[in-house]
Amino acid sequence: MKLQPARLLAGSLLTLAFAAPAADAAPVTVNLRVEGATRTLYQGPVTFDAMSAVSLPPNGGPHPCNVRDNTGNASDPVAPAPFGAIVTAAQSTGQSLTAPWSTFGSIGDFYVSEFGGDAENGGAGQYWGFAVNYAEAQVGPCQIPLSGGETVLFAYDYFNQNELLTLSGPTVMNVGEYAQFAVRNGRSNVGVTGATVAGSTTQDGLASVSFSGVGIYDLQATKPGALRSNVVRVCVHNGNDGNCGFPNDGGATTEPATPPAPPADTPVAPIAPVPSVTPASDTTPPTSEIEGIKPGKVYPRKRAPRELSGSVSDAGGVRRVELRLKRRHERACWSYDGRRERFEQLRCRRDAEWFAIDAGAAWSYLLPERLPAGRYVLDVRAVDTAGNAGQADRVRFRVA
Amino acid sequence: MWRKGLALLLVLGAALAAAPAQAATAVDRAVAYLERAQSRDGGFGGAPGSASAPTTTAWAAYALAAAGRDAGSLRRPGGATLADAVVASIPGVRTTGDVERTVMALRTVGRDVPADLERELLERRAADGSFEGQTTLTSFGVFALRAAGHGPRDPLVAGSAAFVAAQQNDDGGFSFARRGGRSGIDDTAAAIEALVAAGRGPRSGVVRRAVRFLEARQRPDGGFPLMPGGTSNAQSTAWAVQALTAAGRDVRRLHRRGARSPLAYLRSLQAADGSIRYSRTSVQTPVWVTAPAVCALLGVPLPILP
Repeated sequence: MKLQPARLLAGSLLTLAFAAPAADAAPVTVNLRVEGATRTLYQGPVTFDAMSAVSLPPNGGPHPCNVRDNTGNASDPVAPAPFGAIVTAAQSTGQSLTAPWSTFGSIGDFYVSEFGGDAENGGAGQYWGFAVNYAEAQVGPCQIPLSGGETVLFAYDYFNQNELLTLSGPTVMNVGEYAQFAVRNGRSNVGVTGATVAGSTTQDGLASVSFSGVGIYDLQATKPGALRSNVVRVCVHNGNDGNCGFPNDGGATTEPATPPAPPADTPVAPIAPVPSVTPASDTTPPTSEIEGIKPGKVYPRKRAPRELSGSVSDAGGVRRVELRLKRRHERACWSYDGRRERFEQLRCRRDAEWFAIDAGAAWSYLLPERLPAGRYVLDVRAVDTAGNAGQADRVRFRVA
Repeated sequence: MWRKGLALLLVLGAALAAAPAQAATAVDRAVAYLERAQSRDGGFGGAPGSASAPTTTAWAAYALAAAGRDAGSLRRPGGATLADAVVASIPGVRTTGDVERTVMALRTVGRDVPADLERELLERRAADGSFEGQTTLTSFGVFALRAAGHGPRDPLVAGSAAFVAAQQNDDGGFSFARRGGRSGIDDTAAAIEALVAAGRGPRSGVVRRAVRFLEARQRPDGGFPLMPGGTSNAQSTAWAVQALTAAGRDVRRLHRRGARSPLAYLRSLQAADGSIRYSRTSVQTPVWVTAPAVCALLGVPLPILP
């Protein structure tokens, strides 16, 4: 329960020793953001693999970070985990990372106590925490398998943040024109009111922003009690000349001008350049499969399916898995409601409603009870991190 | 011990007597699962067959005692007892959480708290009544003080409860650290149980506001999430049920916007082997998850006192 005070070690004491990854692991690329006490310490993609030997202050090591060795569960996959992302970021930028190793029975994991000089402050209750796709982590950062494409967030004073802000908007604008920037709470994906972006305050998640001079601006949304957003870099110019990021001075030269110092209304300081890995364009949709239920099979009531399971494969990573389940019995039909976890009556000509589940490449869903008598149609589909929606897999079966 | 446990249930768990037969069946199966999961060293791991861990061992002890078992004497054939395992964990105590949990577990398995461990507990209590200045550590501090024999009116208990009460957020909830942090379900529930253990009844304003916070966070599936807006899970639901029960609420009647009751949510997560699954999609640490679910299904809040 108690987090030990971090021992902040000066300089970069990070030493890593990577053994060969296990055969069934593969490198992944995720979007990492590290938010320090007062500024963004890292933002950008990182590519890394499952790690079998990580040595970090204050405990040395080496210790594994590959899910299976951290959960102690031999049936878990060997896979890259969120902690590998921050280790890789620290290594590539030379920023310090302190992460004590703690064990709990067969479970062993790191927790971040310092990054880039920002050490946890136990007296003030300010600790580092993390989230994957803005979802509250339920286990340690080496116990969550990543398939690629996830958003991994490590943040100082994470547990005292009411909202995790995200910012989106145009990356190119003309001087004097207004554009809308959207600020959402990453946890709920709901627009945030009262956040500040470039001096404008959001209403229902939107802020209108304008710039009076050319330049490159790094915008970030902030709000008291909330974690600052990601940085959106905006090129503001006098006419889009195709040189995004370099203002058109109106002259004949084709040489890109040195970006001028941002004018006085520059809202935030630019983040430090970070190494960037540009993932290849992914246009291949994921494939989904239902396992354990044979098409056309008739189950007796006492052996009716209760746990639905299957797998999804995608080269770039799975963003969302959705299920739908339709029941037909004696001329009446029902759709399984994933929020209320019960069947709701449905017109038979209509399809059942899709519902999303917390799942990655392997999924399982425990129904509240065994299915009652009826004819069923179960569909599963997935969307990958590039936004490609895959074909649904379908199985029909009956409970007699 | 068995009689004391039964008496405790009668006092604390009025819901038990009226619980439907299906609940009793669910509890029986969950308790049997826990008993089968005991290791030969007397302790419990996060999952059957995994190495014993003090936290899971303590929670298993709470659950088995809540179920009226003589938890301290429980053992596998030829193995050590659960009490042996708790005692064996004492040398490994390092943190404030370790101290609090071990004190609670010792009393649950019917062992006395060694004087040096109780002294350690008291030394970690700050002048403001807190443990490390944090809400949830202080809530557990109240549990440990009660387990160590301090009554609800004891100044030490009352002082720590006052610290907890002062950390209530405007929304009625509590964060694990201090006032101002985001309110969570588990932390709010622990605070309620600590306040009740310190003699603040259901009519206390702090408790009533915290109860309202919890009840408003029930999900459409009947369960509770770790943090507001999240996905329901069994452990947070168990925390909520234990806290609401401690505060005198009848959780069988909690059906926010037509949801099933949190007890029904817990039962709906029971797997064929009797364990309670963490959530619809996760089977993490089934022994640990099943233990608080048993306490919740029985309507027994923390601390489990002999």
